[in-house]
Amino acid sequence: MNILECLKSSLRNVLSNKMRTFLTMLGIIIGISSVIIIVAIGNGSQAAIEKEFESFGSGTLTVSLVSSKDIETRDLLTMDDYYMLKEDVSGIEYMAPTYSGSNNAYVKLLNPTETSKASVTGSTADYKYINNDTVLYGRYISDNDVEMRNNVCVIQDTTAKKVFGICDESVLGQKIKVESWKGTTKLTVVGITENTDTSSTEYSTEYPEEIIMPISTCMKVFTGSTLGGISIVPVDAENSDALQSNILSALSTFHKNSDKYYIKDSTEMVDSINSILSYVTIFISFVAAISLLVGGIGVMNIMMVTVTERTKEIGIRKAIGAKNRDILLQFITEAIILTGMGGLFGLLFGWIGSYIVGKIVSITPVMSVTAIVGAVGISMAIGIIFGVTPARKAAALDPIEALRFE
Amino acid sequence: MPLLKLENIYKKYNQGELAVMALKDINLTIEEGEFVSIMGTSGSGKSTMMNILGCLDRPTEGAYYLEGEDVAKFRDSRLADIRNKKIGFVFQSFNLLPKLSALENVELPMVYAGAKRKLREETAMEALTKVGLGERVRHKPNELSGGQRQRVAIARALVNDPSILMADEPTGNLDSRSTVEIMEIFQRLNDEGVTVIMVTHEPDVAQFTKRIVLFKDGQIINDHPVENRTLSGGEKA
Repeated sequence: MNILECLKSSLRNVLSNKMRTFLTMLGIIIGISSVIIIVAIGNGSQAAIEKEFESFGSGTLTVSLVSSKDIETRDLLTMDDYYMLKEDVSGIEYMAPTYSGSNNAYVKLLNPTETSKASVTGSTADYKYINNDTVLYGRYISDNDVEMRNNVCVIQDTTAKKVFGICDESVLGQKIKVESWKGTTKLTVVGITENTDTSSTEYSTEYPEEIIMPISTCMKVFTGSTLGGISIVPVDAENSDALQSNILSALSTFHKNSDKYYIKDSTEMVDSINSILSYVTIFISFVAAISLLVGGIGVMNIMMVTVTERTKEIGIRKAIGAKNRDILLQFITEAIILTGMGGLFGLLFGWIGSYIVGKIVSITPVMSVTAIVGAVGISMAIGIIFGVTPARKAAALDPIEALRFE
Repeated sequence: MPLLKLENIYKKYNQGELAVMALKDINLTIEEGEFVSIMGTSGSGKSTMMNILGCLDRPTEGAYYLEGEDVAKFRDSRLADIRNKKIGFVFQSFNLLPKLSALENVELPMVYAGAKRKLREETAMEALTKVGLGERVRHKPNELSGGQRQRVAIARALVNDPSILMADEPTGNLDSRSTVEIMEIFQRLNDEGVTVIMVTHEPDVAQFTKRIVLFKDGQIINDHPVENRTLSGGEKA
């Protein structure tokens, strides 16, 4: 008996009792669709996290002062540290000190009575590479701006639209008004960057506008000299560890202190978040695997019943020349069709379900070919594993006994 | 060489503690083209005989030569092959598969023989026409009368062009008119050269055949040709 005939005959049997077939498949459908949803949402959140860090620049090191220990004035990071590191430490590709001017500033919008909350950050020309900013119009802040303490700034395209109503060359040279506890500051726009942040993270919702200005100007306006941190991109990411210890020892020597600074490695953060995520995925997948196991047992149970019900048919088939192997193949095929169809439906429901769940938790689900092929493959494998025992029982039936069965 | 030859066949059944000897020292030779009735009361061993002749079962002892081969020691899969190609079965309760159409039922032995679809359909149609059922071939068994169902079963038994047609009480579930029709079909097939072996307990039905082998208590007690054979149209020879 060839495979095609076997398939046709099995399909006919499976479809002849639709309600039973559906109920049998239900376990597999639930199992497979949960696996699909978990994988799609897991991949989606991983992609979202990676994208979040991409805008920050992966491999970026951020040097900051530890906050838990007794801090003295001499320990604070200042521009002197920046110049010292630039001078003394090799292996740095880009370096940008940051000074957080104000997290509580407001930008005056087109309609003079409206304002929008903004974060104002002072930095240097290299901040463009740290922040992965793309300049659409004009230029980024330059080292010259820092040196001359120019009253200039770089804003995002979204901010330009809100403040000037348009976003093109004509905005360059115009002034924006920033209100803060320091009063109103007027800054000349020299460049517009692209706002790549499409995800609605808490940070971007809280600070819709982001203004970047020369660090020297920023310190002057907001009267301060303590850096929030220094962001560094190493020349060679492989030697990041060596660079980190060089930076820490240079700072300790410079400040004549020890263990006052730490370095945050964005790659490590991505890794640790991903590993937490994968533990969660493994755990939920384990639960899904149990539901697949239960589904498989359901299939086995119904196949056992089917074999008993169709004892007579098996006897007839054997009498007219079906070999044990033909009967075995037929029942295994039926089990595979049951679970395979369950897998396909599970895939469909999982696909739909992952978009629904994605909407609820605001994550774009990511379908992977591996998950799709895996889901269908696993469900078929369940068919084989749980179909073998009933099929062997069917194949081993004695034709005379089977023919006598009523 | 005879078509089939049984030599010192014994069949023992173990029913718990009790061993039952269903067949004792059976010796039987059937030539090609014969039309044999196996008769006997229930428990006489005729059904066991049928199962062994039909290669559904193996004897406990003895040799069974089918076309010169001793099939008594064959493995399951070789026996299945013989049932498929050399033997055609007709049962009392028809034993058609209810979900398949008449045509598909007839095709089934060819499916197991590995024949292509087109050849299967043509051969099955031919077999159905031969037994006088050229129409209604797309109907399911439960839409056919008893006589029609048995014709489908005969067509199925014939489709792989077997050496022997085995019939187990083929008229047991039929009315007298259908019985005559079915027996006439067997006679016609026998005239065309098909060897027919039939188990029955009805003497009237046995009168249609050419030879009667009588069983009692697992042994052959009588083996004689049929006199005054009933022929087609109900005439006596």
